[in-house]
Amino acid sequence: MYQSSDGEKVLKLYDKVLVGTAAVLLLLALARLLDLPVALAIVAGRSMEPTLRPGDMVVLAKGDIEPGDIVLWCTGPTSCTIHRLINLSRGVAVTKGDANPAPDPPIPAQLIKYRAVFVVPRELVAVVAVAAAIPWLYRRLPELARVELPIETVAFITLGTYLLIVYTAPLLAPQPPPVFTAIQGLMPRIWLEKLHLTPNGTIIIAYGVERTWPVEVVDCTVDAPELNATAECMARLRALTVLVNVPREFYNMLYMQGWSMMWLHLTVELTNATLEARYPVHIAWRPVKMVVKNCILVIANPNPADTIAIVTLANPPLNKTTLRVKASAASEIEIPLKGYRYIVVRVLEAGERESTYATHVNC
Amino acid sequence: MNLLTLLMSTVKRYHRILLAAYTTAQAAWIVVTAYILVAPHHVLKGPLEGQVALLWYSLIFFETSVRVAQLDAVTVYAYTVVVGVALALEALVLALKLLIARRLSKTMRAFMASSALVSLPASGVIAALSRLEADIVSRIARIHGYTTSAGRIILEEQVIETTFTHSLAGMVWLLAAATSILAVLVYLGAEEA
Repeated sequence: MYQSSDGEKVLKLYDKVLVGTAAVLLLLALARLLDLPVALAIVAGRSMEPTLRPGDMVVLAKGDIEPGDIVLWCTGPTSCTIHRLINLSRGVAVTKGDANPAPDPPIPAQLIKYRAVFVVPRELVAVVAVAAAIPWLYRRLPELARVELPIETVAFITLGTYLLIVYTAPLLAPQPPPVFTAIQGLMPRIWLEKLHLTPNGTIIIAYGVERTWPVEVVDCTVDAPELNATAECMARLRALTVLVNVPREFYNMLYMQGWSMMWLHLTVELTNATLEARYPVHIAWRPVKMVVKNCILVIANPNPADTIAIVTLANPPLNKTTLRVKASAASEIEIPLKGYRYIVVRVLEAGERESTYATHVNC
Repeated sequence: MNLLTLLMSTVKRYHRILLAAYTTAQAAWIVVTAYILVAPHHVLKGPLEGQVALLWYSLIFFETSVRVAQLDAVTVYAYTVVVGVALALEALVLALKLLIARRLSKTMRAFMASSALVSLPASGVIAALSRLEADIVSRIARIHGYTTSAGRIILEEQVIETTFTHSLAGMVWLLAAATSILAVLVYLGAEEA
């Protein structure tokens, strides 16, 4: 008799603890709406893995926050996010999910409502819930089977419980606001690191890439719209560098017109996208250099276009020679001056301007 | 004879047929709902590839598996429908017991009818979650080209195929309504029997 009474006391205490715990959990779940100092949330997403996993129960509290804390910020009653605070300055906070590749967009700091103080792992939640429910059901189900309950009561309990589950789900596991960092952070990135025109007319383009890789150049053209001129170019891909060879005739035409700007159009196939590029290429036409060294006339063409030099060599009154020399792009021509005393060189510069070089030599 | 008396006499006369019809409708609701929960509602093709169902999703963005917090939340909410299906299963078991043994306690009959009624709010949740999911999918699949210092990046066209399951999700409440009406009639008939 004594033992039975003692057992009943324990069972009553068990019931009270169970009901009390359920009531406290329900109150904590609703605490966020009432802005109470302590609240409870259940993790719904995977953005904070491995720190927080779906189903983990997080105890939240108000208080001072600092970068590194896991915080809960809300834009509505059922629209909240639990992420780690990574920066806080001048009333603006930046958070990031541990598993996300990029941070969330900045938010006003006052949207942060709580700081996570304690995490109950989902396994522990499940074990405690099952351990608490089984003895209760074991004792109560036979009693319930014997009881004759009216339809109103049964319907109220069944539907009421179900609706409670339906309505508390968004409160316990709030849906994050529509910020799709997961996708945006995984976009392929390619940027221009260098675009350089070499003296021989090759254009070197160097790229930086992230989550993509250039596969091949499928189209390459150059144009000078003002001159109504277009030409196809040859492009080769070497890792992250594209080498573009523009036809010499195109440079020659620009040189003759004295035009120093062209547009390069490239279509590059990437591993998961296509790059369509249009780059302005500036050509700094430089004057042709003429130097006499050791009785040799050196004509150096520093431009990617060919030009013509008319060289007159004289040793009056004995002889006079006129040569028409093609000064190829980015090359040097050497003309021996032995037996001559005077030289006059006329060169066709950019824009069909003529420059003259005349000197006296003693060779 | 008033309308209520006529209804009660009809329900009593055709109780076995109504019970069989209810059992069938309840089983059909369970099967259809389970299918709606598990089968993909959206198939994505393009830069973002994968399938999205209410209880799961699999998305690959440029060979990287993607987790979308909003779809994770939909999955959590969909578990409330699983609870509804569990209750409907209990109601089905009780209905089968009534069909075979012809006896069921008053409380269990009430529980059977109440559990059957759960299919109505559960169907509402399915419809709401389907619309929410469609909205999330259309937002995340809004992937366009963009411009960087290297030029314009053109991505493959993103295609979202909506499956028949999504249409079914908007109509499952009809089955739930039929199930609920039959459950109430079966309860009234059994009460009278």
